[in-house]
Amino acid sequence: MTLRTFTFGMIASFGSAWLFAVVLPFFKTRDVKPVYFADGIDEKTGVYFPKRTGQVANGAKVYAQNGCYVCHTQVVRPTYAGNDFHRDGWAGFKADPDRGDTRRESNVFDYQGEDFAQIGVMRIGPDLSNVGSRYEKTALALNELNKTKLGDAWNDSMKTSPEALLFEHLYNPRTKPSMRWSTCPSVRFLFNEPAREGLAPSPKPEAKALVGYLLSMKKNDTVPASMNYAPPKPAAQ
Amino acid sequence: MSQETKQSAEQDAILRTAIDRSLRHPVMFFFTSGAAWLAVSLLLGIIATAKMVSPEFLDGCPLMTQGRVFAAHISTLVYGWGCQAAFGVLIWLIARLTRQENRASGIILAAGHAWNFLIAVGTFSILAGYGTGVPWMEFPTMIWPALLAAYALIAIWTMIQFRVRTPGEVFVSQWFAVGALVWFPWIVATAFLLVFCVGGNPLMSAGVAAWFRSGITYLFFLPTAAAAAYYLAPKISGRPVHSYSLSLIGFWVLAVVGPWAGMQKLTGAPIPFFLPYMGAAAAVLIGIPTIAIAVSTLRTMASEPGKFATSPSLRFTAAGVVCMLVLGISSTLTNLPNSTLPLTQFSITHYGMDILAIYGCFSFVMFGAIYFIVPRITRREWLSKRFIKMHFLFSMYGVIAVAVLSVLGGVLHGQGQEDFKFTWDSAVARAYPYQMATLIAWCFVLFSNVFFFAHLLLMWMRLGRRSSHPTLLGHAHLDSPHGPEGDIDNAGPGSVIAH
Ligand code: HEC
Repeated sequence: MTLRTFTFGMIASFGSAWLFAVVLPFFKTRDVKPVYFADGIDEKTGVYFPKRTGQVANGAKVYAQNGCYVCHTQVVRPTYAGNDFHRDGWAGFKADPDRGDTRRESNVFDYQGEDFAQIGVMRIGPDLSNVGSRYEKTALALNELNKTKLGDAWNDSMKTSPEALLFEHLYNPRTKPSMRWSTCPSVRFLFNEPAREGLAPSPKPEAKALVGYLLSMKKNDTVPASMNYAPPKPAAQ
Repeated sequence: MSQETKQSAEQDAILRTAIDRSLRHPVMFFFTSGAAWLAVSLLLGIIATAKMVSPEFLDGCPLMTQGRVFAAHISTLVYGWGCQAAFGVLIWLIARLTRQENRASGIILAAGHAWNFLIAVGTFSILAGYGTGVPWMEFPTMIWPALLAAYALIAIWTMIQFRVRTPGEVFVSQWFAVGALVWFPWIVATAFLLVFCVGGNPLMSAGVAAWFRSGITYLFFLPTAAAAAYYLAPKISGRPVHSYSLSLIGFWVLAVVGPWAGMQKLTGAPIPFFLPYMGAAAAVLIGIPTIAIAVSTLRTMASEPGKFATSPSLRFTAAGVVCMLVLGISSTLTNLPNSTLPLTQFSITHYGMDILAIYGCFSFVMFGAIYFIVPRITRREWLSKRFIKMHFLFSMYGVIAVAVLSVLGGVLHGQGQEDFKFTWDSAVARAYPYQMATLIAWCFVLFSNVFFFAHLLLMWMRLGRRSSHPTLLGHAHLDSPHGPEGDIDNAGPGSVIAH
């Protein structure tokens, strides 16, 4: 092979992939176009406004710096690419008391407010793209349970919140006997140690940001049908 | 031998010695500091895997958080060991193949120090919690342009040498070496600019990062290993490269297919639909070049089967090439969309493939090259064949365990992830035995590399044997294991004439 053929071949082979698989798609997808609800198909009309609240940018930083992406993913793949849809609470809920089947796969707007989508490396822990909704649901269920258990002794100050549950998890994922198997690392260095025995450790700003970020990951809003490739819903049972 | 050929052989030997001497310090520096980083990386890998198995181990210590340790482990493996070993081998190879002394060894040595300093700062930053959170690019943002600048200083002279060499054919080994030298900065600069400088869609940034990981693996580590194997196989066996056309296929299929791979890791994520599919197709096709390269280098080595028993370089290189074959075939088998890809996309196969590529395929060939190069540049022979044997055996057991168990175990782990009828803890439990095996295997590998590092350090201190009989693994052998180039002329240039 001569140098000319070699050089030309190198530039052509690498350059074309570089251009068409990396650079062009990167710039083409830079501005996300708004998506509209379609008349007649969707219940709503107009443009779809994704809503994501909380300390997304700060929390994403804490998430990145502590390597949570090594074991956690943040993507719900459509059914052609995996079974994420069928794990309850990952894609939404199969039977939400108010809205029925809310499941959907990830869309571009889910990563709003982040510089880098933490798709994740491995899935040792569960997918986190709907972890906010899951914790809200758990907190609600826990409150209901305690209310019925305690009866008159219950008062509203005993209510737990999704934040409190997440702080508990982050401080030590293995507190509950049923979770002894958890391999999620503790990030208790993001907390100030409790002043006295029996008090809960108080979260540092980083822990608060992280929890805000985790709670912002929800798949609980209605998206236009054009963005939802969910399998056709079974007829009402 | 006629008078004339004898003279030119003598001149040849003098030239080789001059080239080797010109590169002694930078190349030894890259190898020794690379080996030190390898030991650091293995230690971090042991901690990270131990924490996967038993999360209470060093729990709650910020520096030792699972995610940070894992990131530091991979970063030191890739940039501390992998890149430095590759630089050392590539600059030596090109100098030898273009038959020119390297006149920039001072600059290269200085840039090598800068490189090490940057890796150290980057690794501490990751552990201290300043990582970027981009897989394989966790070093803080400012580190990257500095690393690229250091790379430019390391590689520029080698590129000039290639450019001004005596015109003629470009040899097989050179294609791969120059390919690696050109692709590396192109990939790093692209990923750095797109991910950290130009704000883009967060998903495409993740896509570019996935492409980067695959690019470094298949377009830097793999061709570097191929370049060394294509150099060592004919050198040691004394036979020409087995099949030129097969090598040609190997190179060009790699060049055409390699750059498309990577984004299959984002299958199902909301990015343009064709990207993950192109990535998966390319990852499947990676099998072809690895088979072509492996067949032609192994056939070359096998033409002198007796050398396997004696030459440490050949043994390591052959083992690395076999790993390359396994890597390529695994890439084909684990990236089939709609069948195995959903199982391996997020399972521990991911880690297994990385280790198979970096420690299995790449590092083994680099060890082979190092066992070949170091006696030539230090003009001393390796001290102990027992050290070399220990290094080989424990590394081999270790890498077979890590790679094979993680790649295959990862498929079972993936099945657990996909089987939604069972709760998540059953998927976690499925990964457990393989993580346990990985932990034990890493301990083996670390143990083996203690020997390697100690040996290399002694050689760098020029405490090697002053002998013109190379260190062989078998019993005394009259043939030279180094092929026609002959024994190393430790008594001075030209004292032993090539036979
Ligand atoms: C070693 C791998 C690993 C790492 C690293 C890791 N996790 Fe986990 N995580 C797990 C496992 C396994 C579980 C499931 C067991 C459990 O719920 O505790 C889990 C569960 C969780 C859950 C509960 C999810 C749910 O739906 O119930 C949250 C929240 C979480 N992790 C957050 C984090 C954060 C934040 C980080 C980064 C600091 C992190 N994890 C790092 C392995 C990991």
